[in-house]
Amino acid sequence: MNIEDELRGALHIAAPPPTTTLEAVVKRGRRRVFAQRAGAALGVVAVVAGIGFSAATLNHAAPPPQQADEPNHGPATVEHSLGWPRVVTPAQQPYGTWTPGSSAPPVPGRPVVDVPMCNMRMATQEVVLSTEPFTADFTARLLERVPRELSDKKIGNAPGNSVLQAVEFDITDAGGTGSLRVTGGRFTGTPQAYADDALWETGDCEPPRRLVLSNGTIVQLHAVRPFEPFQSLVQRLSVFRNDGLLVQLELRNFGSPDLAPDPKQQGQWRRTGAGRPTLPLSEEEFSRLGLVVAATT
Amino acid sequence: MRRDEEFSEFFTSRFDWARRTAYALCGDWSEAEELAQNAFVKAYAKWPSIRRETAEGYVRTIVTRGFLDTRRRGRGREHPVAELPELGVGGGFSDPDAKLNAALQQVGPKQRAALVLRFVHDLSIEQTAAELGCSVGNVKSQTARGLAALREAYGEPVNSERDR
Repeated sequence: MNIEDELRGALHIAAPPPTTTLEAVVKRGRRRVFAQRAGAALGVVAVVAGIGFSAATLNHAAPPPQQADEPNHGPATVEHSLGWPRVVTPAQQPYGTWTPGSSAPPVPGRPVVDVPMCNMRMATQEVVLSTEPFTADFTARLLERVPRELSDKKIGNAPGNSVLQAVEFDITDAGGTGSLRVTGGRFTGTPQAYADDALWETGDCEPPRRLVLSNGTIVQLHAVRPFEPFQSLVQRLSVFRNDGLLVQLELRNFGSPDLAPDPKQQGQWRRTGAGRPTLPLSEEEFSRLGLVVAATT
Repeated sequence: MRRDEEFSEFFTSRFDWARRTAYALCGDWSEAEELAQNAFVKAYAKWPSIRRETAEGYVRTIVTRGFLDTRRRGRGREHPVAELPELGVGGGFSDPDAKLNAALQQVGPKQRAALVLRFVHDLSIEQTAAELGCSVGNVKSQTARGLAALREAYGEPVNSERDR
């Protein structure tokens, strides 16, 4: 007897009749197919839900998108949270990026801002800026409303500046002292026409943001621009009022602590300090202040 | 439906073959029925992706691995019955088939599976290794040990092909 031969005949033995029917197998098989498909569908739903949840979470956590041609102001600039629309016009082509001068570079440890530089184009209508167009009442209200509007900051009149040339405020918070310079002038024509004329005066690359008030007054916010010395920062907000008054606000990253009397020129001041690394107001605060000024008579 | 028609044909022709294979492995017609049925249920679910010429091998692999799984888990097989059957479902120990089956049950499960695939189904060592999911060397050793154990369990002198 051979054991392998015995094994080969193992299937050919007497057996009881099978009890399994085709119907039973097909029924169970269909249930299995349904379960597999339902599981796959649930898996897809779970994956889609997971992706959606992750995307929503990451979008929420991520910083707001920034246009490629918009300057990367880095830590030295204000927030870009303003919802005002940009003027609809082609942007200017940058001729380069900001490079600080070697004679007065930023203080050690302060990074150079990455700002594209574009040409300044002066308005065809020349407007002389001073405080002369301001009435005494207007100046008084300005001196009263600016500190009230910026109640969380320490506001002081910047010493060494005559209100004959500009109304200036020191703005101080935990980040240091910056300043606000307010000047005025008279323009002819409509606010819209002059605002368009002065669109590129500060050398913006992107069109400035603009808000047109119901009375026709236009408030225009320009981009932050660095300048010498010490990589100083300035941002301009212009109010083109419907009565022909231009009120120009310039926010700066330095204040009176960074100025000293110029020994060479009597009555003049010179920069001695680099100022704070950022502007003293956020874009939202600055624009809110602009609306207050626009409503001041 | 074409799927059901094809599967019906396959089931009709091969279910008993699968059940007998399962019986050679487990030595119990009731469990064999269950192993075969599970294999065909899985085959039905996969039927669109199974080629007809490989369907037998697919079912046999499921039966074999299902059998090994039950033994690997060490789960004692349950026989829930409402009443004791009047007749046994298999032959008694007095017939030769029952004797071979009894001897096979004395062989370890993996060795038994190797013997069934190698000699009952006449698969090559490589095919057996593929169905068991192990190496060729493992099949060789399992087969050799299984034959030795089977001879011993058979209880009477038997020859082997290697003895000839």
